[in-house]
Amino acid sequence: MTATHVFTFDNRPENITRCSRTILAYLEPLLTEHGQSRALLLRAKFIVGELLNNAVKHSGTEKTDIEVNLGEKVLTINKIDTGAPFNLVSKIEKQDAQLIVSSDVMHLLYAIKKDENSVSFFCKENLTFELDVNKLAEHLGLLIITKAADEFTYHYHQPTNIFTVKLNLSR
Amino acid sequence: MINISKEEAAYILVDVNLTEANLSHSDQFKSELIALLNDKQRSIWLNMQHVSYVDSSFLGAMVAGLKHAIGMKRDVVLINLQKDIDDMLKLIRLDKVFKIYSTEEEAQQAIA
Repeated sequence: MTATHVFTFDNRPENITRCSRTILAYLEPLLTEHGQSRALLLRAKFIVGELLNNAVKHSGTEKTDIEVNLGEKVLTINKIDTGAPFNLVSKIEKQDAQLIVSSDVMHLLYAIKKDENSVSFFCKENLTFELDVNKLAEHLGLLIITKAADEFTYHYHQPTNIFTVKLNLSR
Repeated sequence: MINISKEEAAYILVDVNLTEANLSHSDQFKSELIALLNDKQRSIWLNMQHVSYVDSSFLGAMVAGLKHAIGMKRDVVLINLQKDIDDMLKLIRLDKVFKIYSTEEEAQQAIA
């Protein structure tokens, strides 16, 4: 069973909840029919919410497309807009080079350059931290997506930005 | 958005009257939380029983409130979390940052 649908979001903060609910209402029966757990739907919910947040904060456009694709083995969620590019792609010069996107006492969030136009995100946990709340990050969106996803990438193909999130489906 | 439901000597119990706590509420929530800390000079126990979803912006506001409270040698404590919120906090390890209790009574036994 496969399915694809594109949802258009108007980038207004007051419509995040409505758009998120619409996407989740589409996904829930598909994932249930596919035999997926509620935990996977919850991860998808976290991711969709953060992609919509990101659209409001950073797209700088009047609309964002959220494309949802349920394949046999992977659920893919793409956030697509034509706003200003995320400068990570140009900031990291060499392929396979890494850059710390954000850090606090508990996490280091990295981007690694995959090719000329793409980066992939990954996160390392600091397991021996001494808690100092003043050193905690307050911007958590990319971290949430990275930790909820099995794969999270950003691709720029002028003039289009595509954030791609993949969730592996259980068999 | 937040309403005081009980004032004790050591803490103020506050209901968070939201179901979806997201970007559209985070700035106001942060302002109200910090104003309450400044006004009452006591720890705030947030009753989260009605909140079924939190996003990064709202979590950021909660962390900002906690930083403010710690700076005053007070605290922000979370009560009555729904499972999805608990899972979100665990995902980004904020369960190691906030004191979290199932009920006010449990919090009283642990803290008081």
